[in-house]
Amino acid sequence: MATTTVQETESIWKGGRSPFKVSYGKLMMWFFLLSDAFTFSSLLVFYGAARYSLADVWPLPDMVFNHFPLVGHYHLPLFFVSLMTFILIFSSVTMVLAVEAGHRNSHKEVGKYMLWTIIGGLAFLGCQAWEWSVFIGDGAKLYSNNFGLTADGKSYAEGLKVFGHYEWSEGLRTAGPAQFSSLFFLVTGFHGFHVFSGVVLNIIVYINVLFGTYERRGHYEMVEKVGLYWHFVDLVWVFVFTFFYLI
Amino acid sequence: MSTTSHLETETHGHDDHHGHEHHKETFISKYVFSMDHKMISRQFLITGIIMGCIGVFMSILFRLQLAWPSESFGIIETFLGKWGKDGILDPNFYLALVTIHGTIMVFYVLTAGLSGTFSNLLIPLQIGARDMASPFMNMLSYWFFFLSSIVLISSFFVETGPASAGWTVYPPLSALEKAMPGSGLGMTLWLVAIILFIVSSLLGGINYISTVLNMRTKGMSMDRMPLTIWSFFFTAVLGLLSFPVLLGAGLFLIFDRSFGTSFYLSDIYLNGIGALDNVGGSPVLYQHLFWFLGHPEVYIILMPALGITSEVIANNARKPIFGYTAMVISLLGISFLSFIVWGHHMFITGMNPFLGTVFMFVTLIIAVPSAVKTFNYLATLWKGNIRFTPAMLFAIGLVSLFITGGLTGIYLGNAALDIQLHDTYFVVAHFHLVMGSASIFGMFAGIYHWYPKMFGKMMNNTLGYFHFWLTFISAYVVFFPMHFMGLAGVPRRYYEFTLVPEFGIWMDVNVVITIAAIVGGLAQVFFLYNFFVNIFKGEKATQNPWQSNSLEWTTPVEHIHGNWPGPLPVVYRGPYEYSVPGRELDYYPQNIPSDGEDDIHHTETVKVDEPTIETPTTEVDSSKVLFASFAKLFGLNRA
Amino acid sequence: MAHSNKSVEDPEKEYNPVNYIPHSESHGTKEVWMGFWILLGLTLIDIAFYFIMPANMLRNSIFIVLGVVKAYYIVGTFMHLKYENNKLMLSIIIPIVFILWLIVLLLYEGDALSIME
Ligand code: HEM
Ligand SMILES: [Cu+2]
Repeated sequence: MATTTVQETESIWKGGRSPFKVSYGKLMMWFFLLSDAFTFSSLLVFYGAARYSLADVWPLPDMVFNHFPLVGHYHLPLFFVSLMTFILIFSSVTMVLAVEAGHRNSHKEVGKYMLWTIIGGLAFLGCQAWEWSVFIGDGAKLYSNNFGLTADGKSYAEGLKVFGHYEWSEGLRTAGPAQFSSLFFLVTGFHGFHVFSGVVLNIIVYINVLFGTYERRGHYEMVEKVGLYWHFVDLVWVFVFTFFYLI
Repeated sequence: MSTTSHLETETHGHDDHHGHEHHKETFISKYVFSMDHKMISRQFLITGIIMGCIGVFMSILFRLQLAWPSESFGIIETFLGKWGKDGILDPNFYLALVTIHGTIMVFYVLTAGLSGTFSNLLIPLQIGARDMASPFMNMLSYWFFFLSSIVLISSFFVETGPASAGWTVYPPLSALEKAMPGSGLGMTLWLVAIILFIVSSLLGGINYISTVLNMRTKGMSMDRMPLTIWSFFFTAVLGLLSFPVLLGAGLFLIFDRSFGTSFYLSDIYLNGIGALDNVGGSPVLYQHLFWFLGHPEVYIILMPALGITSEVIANNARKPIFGYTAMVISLLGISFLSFIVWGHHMFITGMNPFLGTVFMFVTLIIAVPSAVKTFNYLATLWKGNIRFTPAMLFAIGLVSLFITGGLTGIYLGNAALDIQLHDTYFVVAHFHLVMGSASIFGMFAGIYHWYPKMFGKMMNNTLGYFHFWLTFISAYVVFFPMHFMGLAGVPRRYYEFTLVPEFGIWMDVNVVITIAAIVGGLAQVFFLYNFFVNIFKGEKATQNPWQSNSLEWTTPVEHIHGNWPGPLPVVYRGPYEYSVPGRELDYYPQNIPSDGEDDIHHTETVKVDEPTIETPTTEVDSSKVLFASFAKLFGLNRA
Repeated sequence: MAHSNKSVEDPEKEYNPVNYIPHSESHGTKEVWMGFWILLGLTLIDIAFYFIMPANMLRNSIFIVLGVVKAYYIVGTFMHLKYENNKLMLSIIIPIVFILWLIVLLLYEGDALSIME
């Protein structure tokens, strides 16, 4: 076994073959994702620097993202976004299952799991729309927000230490750092845009699955390629979740 | 058409976009929306040349202002209309010209025009592939570039004029619509153009990388790839990883401009407007993101030129390139380092001084791989049997300019020295020599060398010599004196210096520079004539006019879809086996098996896998060769 | 590696880069579900730390480390990178050092910016 591996690595670059043993299409997808990773990194790194430079006044997420649909004014930080995370991860799982079914050339199952993935993506987008609308209802604008001090003088930068029901004092709040809401909208928006394009791609592939395009082609590599993209979107979300909601 | 039937068996029409060989070619599919890499490369080149003419012309317009401040020139009014009333250049428009000149030259000519052209032409041809991995994306890459060029040029026709914040478009000038006329719609168009450009370069880059990795023909191992391919490969990697960061920077900028965010803006005071509402942003962050692209970008520009130079020098010195592996490793080193040194552009911008030290340290290391490359070029030339073709002259010119300009990089890399030198003409001299001129020379070397391959015709050598010498001399006359101006403190991007009496002594120098710039600009007419006329009227090229080893010269002169009529060539050796002892011919094409199937008698003593470097090619005294070649050069008619 | 695709090794078959699709086998779904439960578990751990620890650097570091672990499972298992050729793996992972460098330097910079204010 060991010797064959050595031989493999020796001849792998000799030309007339694919050194990584992947098709050019998948290779391109990987490199595209690498470059997209740099795009998101530039946004997140900017977020890091901006937040670091405004650390004293930066609102803590549990003061802001603490709503849950249909339960009223409870202070429930992290619950909703955890649900979103769960949805996205789960749609990633169904995506892997679609790819796996593709390897078995199981036409029916690919279709089924693609459909679940699309539903997951749409559900995530719906959640994000709700999240945004609450955030905006709370007074966040693209260029400003009022997450400075609450009406009773409590700083958003310090966070709350209570859970469950919490009486928000009505009244005017002071302005928080504008970058807080700008970055939130920009980064989650850019991510949401990726999710949206992913859903569109998934739908296109799903239609092709239904029409039997890949069955005729003899392989489901296209499913694998959009799958890579879809998981990448999930990957980015992990970091958005970490930096925007946890830290 | 035996070629077509062969292709059909080759490609099976497996992927939709590869099936197009079956369709009849119309004018549109052949010349406009072509998916053939050779045609796309010509599209890139011609668009690049047109953009280059525009860029050079703009530089002459603002050089007129610098040499003869506030004097009237009819040409300025003719071309600039209301921005050149009475023939006097509008001060704001001076900045617009400088900005668009820089943008065009950096992105449109030397990135797309250089790497786009030659990556497209040479990657499939030199590695033995029938086309790019995805011809369709390749076509898109060109059309995004084309669209981007149109958008950029269209900014000349808007009321407030084009972007004027310099090619680096630093905020606040670029972020505040009201800051100056050019910060308005022109700036928006600039950003749109650059985003289109980024898309184009990503589509191209992904393609180049996948092609180099996956599509090499049998026997074309990585260490048998011509150095051109290595340089295009690393260039594509640099673009792939750095352009997206510019996209990020641009997104923030667009939001600041159009949606009132404060990413780069804080409560600065603006004359006539008062203090801004914005709080907490910082333009330094823009500069970080910009230069994270910006520094790799200068190597995106330079590296293809270096690769072309390697090929041209080895071929025309009839010697193996000196230190092939060292060349590849230094390309790799340069690529790696270029990602971690961007802060040397920001020493005095208020960046954390600790970072200045870090950046200074890593910056100075770049001198090592750069020097390795330079010395390898010189060692390749050493005792070579040199043919001074125009391509070779341009390649040698690149080496000269690279040395001159690279040395000043070491000065600028010192954080302390940079306090004096930053934003002076010293920087202008540095980057015009090392990046601007050197890469343009590499591009010319490539054009003269591969013209027969691109158009199937030969260029005229005599015109080429005129072109080279005039360009070479004027490049030095234009940029060398700028070092001294910069050392004396003359700042860049100033409309005129009449208010500073101390700078009066530089007036004459500015006149000399401008005259040289005009001469250099006119010298390009030789090139343009040579280039465009010979496409139609040129002497027909032979298949391998430069007796070169690499695979592109094994394809027929007439372009065919799929490059090789028969099966793909198989590669038996590296690309630089020139003057192999014991062989009758002084070159040894990569596709000829070593057991002598090429019906040329040669002894079996040469081991193919080891490039023999130390063997001198001829016993001729090299100075005599040099002298004879110069004599030949100036007896231009015999060339 | 038992998973590697063998079609290239077949000397009879001419390599054609245009329609070369390595034959890929299914690895079953066990590992996928494993990955799912791990990701879910890590997210729950995140939430737990969020509620039991005060916000400080240590907690942030824990979140980041957990984020990287999650990334490992997404990229390795879901995106299948673990099973790809390890050269491909390296060529995807090595460029990430530039991002790390950017992060480190810009955090320093953000710190300096706050001093200036
Ligand atoms: C030995 C290697 C090099 C070193 C140490 C070096 C260093 C520097 C430094 C420190 C600056 C900033 C000067 C300032 O703004 O005050 C600079 C500017 C510049 N360098 Fe280099 N450089 C080197 C090679 C190159 C090469 C090879 C290129 C292009 C291919 C290049 C292109 C540029 C450009 C375009 C600028 C000016 C950008 C602007 O401000 O508009 N440099 N260089
Ligand atoms: Cu630089």
